[in-house]
Amino acid sequence: MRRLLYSIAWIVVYLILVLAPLLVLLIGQERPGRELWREFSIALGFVGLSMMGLQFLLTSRFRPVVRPFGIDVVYHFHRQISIIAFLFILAHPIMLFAFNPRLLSLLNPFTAPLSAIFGLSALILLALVVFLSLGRLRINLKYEPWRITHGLFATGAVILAMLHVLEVGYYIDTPAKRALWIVLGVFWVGTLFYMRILKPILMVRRPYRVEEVRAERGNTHTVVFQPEGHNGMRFRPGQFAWLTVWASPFSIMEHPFSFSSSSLEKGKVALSIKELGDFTSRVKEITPGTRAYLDGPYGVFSIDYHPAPGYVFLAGGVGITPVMSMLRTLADRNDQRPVYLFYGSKDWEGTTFREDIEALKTRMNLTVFYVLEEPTEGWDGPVGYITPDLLAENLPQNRVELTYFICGPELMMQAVEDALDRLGIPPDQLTAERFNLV
Amino acid sequence: MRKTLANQLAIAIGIIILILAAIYALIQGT
Repeated sequence: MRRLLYSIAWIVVYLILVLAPLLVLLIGQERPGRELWREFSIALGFVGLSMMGLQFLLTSRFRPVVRPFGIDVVYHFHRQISIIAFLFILAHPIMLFAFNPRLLSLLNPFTAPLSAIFGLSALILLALVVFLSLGRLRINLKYEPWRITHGLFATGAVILAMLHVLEVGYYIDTPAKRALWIVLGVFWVGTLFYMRILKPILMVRRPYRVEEVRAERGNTHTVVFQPEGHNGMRFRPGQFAWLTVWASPFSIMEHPFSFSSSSLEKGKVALSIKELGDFTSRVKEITPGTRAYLDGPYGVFSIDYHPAPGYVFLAGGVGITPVMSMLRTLADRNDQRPVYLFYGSKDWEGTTFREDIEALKTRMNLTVFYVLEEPTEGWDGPVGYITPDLLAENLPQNRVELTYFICGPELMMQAVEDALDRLGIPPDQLTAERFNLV
Repeated sequence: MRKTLANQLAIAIGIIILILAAIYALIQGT
């Protein structure tokens, strides 16, 4: 209930911040109004700019904002709302041109005033930001260069848009309006300062040292971190953190990974990382003693946020990592509630953590179903994918009372969500973790 | 599920902002 109230409060704050320019324009209005379409177009430009400015706050992982929603919701919201904000901003010049075609001359960079050049450049940069984010995988743009260009282009776009407003000048002619833009500007720059300067300083003061890099089955490595000169972090099983290694926290070379260790382990934390891309393929090269920085914990994919009489974990591939953390924590807590694990893997050899899972069975009330895509000869377990039939046959009678955690590749998650829906599992008893935040 | 929630939240907020921007234009415009 408290989380819901905080969520609503943040939505109201968001709306107020987005609409602040329009409120000030109405309050401090001294000039006569202009044509309806022109005012509408300008209103869309202003709210679009506010929304873009607020995007920095959404991705700053500012805890009071992240906590009530969960970081996955905040990041997906950031992605979706950016498309809407871009459409508003795009509508701004289109409506002006439609209303007054003579304004099309502003598109000529040789004759256009500075205000139009700033506005157009901001729009082009924003279009690039949106295009590169939505099409990153399709055009094979790697995460690191995308992340750098994303930050630079977005900051550039907002600065250019602010310059556009200042240069047009029509809406900054009273002290109240000037004050508004100064406050908004300070707020946006403040968010950037928090993200790029203050937070890295705090991280530098809380470093970790790599204690061990352990090879696991399925091209996965577990990296164990020991806090250096501090008590480490307390996380909930199933959560994740952003890892920076071989770089300073001031660089933005950080990657999100789930904890795989028990949350009851004192000090030490472990992340398990599967070789999937540039950075993850180099994790095995990390040597013990290397300094690292962790920003976290984040996420609400945790049994601690979803009390239930029993749990069902549905994991595919590396999706087993946060599940391992929850299983290990349940065992360490001597929790004897029934737990079912449906674990889809390519083959038996590459089934990550299978020995650890077998060992956990002796310490807790755990039932495991391995599902192999490519079984070896003699395999008598389920083959292929986690299907509705497999779930229907093996879930207990009280399955609608249990809480379900799903983590794995997108297609597997979709299929499992559909299967659970067909089995009559209420949607609010499903929690899914998607690794593709960006 | 949570992705859908984020999408719906973004669309709802987008619509509210669009409506309020239109109301502003109605008040301000001639």
